[in-house]
Amino acid sequence: MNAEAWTGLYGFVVLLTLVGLNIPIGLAMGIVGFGGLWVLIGPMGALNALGIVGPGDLVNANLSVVPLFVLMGLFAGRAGLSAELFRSANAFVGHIRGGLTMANIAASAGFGAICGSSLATAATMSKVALPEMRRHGYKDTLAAGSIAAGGTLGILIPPSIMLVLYAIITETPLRDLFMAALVPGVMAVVFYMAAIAVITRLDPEAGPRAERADWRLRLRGLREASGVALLFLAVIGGIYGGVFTPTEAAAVGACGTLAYFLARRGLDLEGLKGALLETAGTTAMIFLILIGAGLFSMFMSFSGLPRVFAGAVLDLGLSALMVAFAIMLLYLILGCFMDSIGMLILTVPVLLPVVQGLAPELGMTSAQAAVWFGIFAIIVIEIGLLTPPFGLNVFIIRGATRDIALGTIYRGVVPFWIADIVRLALLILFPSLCLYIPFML
Amino acid sequence: MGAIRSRGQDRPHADGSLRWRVRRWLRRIAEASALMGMAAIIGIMLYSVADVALRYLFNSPLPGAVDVVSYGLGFAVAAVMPYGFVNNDHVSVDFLNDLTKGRARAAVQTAVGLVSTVCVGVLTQRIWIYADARRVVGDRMWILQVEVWPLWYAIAGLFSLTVALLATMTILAAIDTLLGPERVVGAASPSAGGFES
Repeated sequence: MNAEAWTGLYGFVVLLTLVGLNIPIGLAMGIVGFGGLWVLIGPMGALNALGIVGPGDLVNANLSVVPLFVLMGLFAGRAGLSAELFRSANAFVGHIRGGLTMANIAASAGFGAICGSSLATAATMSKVALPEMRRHGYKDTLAAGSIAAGGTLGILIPPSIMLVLYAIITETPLRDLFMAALVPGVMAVVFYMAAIAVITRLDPEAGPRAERADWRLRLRGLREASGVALLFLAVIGGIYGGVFTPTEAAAVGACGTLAYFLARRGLDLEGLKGALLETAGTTAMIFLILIGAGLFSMFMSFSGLPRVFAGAVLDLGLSALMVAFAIMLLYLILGCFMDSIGMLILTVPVLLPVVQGLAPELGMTSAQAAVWFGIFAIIVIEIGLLTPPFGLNVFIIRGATRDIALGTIYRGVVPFWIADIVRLALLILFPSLCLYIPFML
Repeated sequence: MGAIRSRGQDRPHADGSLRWRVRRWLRRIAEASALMGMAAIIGIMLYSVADVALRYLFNSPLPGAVDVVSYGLGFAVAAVMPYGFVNNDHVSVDFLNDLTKGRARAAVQTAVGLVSTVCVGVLTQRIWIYADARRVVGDRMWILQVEVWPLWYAIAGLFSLTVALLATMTILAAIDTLLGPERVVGAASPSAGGFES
C-alpha cells in the first residue's frame, strides 16, 4: 500500500472518530475530505476543491429531485393517504386469516411508494393500522411485526430518497435504479404476505378473520386508491417512458400530492407550514451530506484507497458470494449504531469498487453492478431497520404504542426478517431479478 | 450503544430567560428563511409542471427551465440551511450526548457547535469568493442570459446567516456549560436545536 492510500485509511479512521464524537456526518465527511486533500494536493488545491464542490452541488439541477420527492411524501402523509390505502386494501383482504396485516403490508407499499421513507411509513401505519388490528384481536407480535416490516418498503419502492442519494453519489442513472427496485419491491410484498399466511396457518389465533366487506365498500376503496395508483404511474411510468426527466416527474408528483392535500384538508395553513418546514430540514440535512460526501469522495479518489481495497479483497481469492455475504454482515453490524443514510454514504465509495471488481464473476457489467449493488445495499439497510439491538423501525413502533414491549415487537419481526434474508439471497444468486427491467426489457 | 438522535425533535425549554428568548428568535429567523427557501422550491415545482404541460399540450415549453431549477435550488438550499442547524436536523451519532448530561452535555454541544461554525464559515468564505468571481467575469445563465452574481451574493448572504446563527447557538451552549443548563418547564417549542440542554 502506498503513502496516499495510507493517508486515505487514516482519513477513514478520523472520519469514524469524528462521527463518534457527535459531529454531523455531512460535516465530518467535509472535514476529512478537506483535510485529506490538504495533505495530498496542498492547501490551495483543497480550497479550490471546496470552492468547486460546494457551489457546484448547490446549483446542480439534477439534485432538485431531493426536496421535491420529500415534499411529495410529506403532503401525502399529512393528507391522510395512509388511512385511505389501508381501508382500500382491508376491503379486499380483511376477511381472510391475517387479512388486516396483509392490508397493512399493501398499504405500506402504496404509501412507501409515494412517501419514500421507512421511518415515516412505520410511524404512520402504527397510528393507522395497529389500533385496527388490536381491535380485531390480532396478536401484538404479528401486528407490530408487520408494521415494522411494512415500513421498510418505503426506502426500496421507487421513488425512494435513498435510491436518489445513491444515484447522486455513484453517478448511476436514477431511472435504472428506480426500474431495478420494482421487482425486489414486489417480491418484498409477496414474501411478507407469504410470511403472514404461514404464521396464521400455524397459529390461527394470531390473526383472526374480520368481517367480509361488500362490493360497495370495495369499489369505494378502489376509487380512493386510484389517485395514488395514477400518481405512481405518472411518476415512475413517466420516467421510464421518457416522458419526464426525474426532476419533472418529482415536480409532477409533488404538485399532485399538493392538490390531494388541498382536496382533503382544504387550506390548512398549519399543515402546509409543517410539511414545508419538515422538507426544509430534510433538504438541509441531505445537501450538507452531499457537499461533505463530494469532498470525501474526491479525497478517496486522490488517495486511491478504494482501488487498493478492492484489489486487496480480490487478491484474497474469495468468491463473489462470500464477499456479498461479508458486505451484508458489515451492514448489519453498522446498522447497530448508525442510521441508514450515514451507512450508505460512508460505505458506498469504498465498497462499490469491490463489487464492480467482482462484476464479471457475478455475470454483470460494471454499470449493471452499480445498479445491483444499490438495490442490494438498500435491502440490507432495510433489514438493519428491523435487526436488534437497534432496529430503528422497531423503536418507532415502540414510541407510538407504549404498551407493547420491545421484545414482543422483535419476536414479531423474526418471520419478516427471515423473508428478507430469503429475498436477499435470491437477489444475490439471481441478479437478473433486479437487472431485467432496466437492462433487458 | 450510541443511539441515533431523533431529528428535529422539540426540546424542553426554560420559559422567559434571556437565553430562551434568544433561542426563540433564532428559531423564528431560521423558520422565516426556510419558508423563503421552500417558496423557491414551490416555484421550481410550478415552473417544471407548467413547462411539461406546455411542452406536451401546445408544443411550447417555457424558456430556461434548467436555469430556473438550478439557481432556484441554489437559493432554496442556502435558505433552508439555517433551519437545518437550528432544528437539529443533521444526521449524527449521539453517542456522547447519551453518555452525558447537564454541563457535560452542554460542553459537548459547545465543541460540536464550534466545529460546525468553523466548517460552515470556511464554506461560506469560498462561496463569497465564488460570487465575486462570477461578478468579475460577468457570468450569465445558459438560456435566460440573466447575470448570476446577484443570486450568488444572495446564496453567500444566506450561508453567512447560517454561520451567524451557529455562532450564537455555540455561545449559548458555552453559557450553558458555564452557568448550567436552563430550568426545564415544558416540552413545547420554541427551541434552538441541538445546542440546548
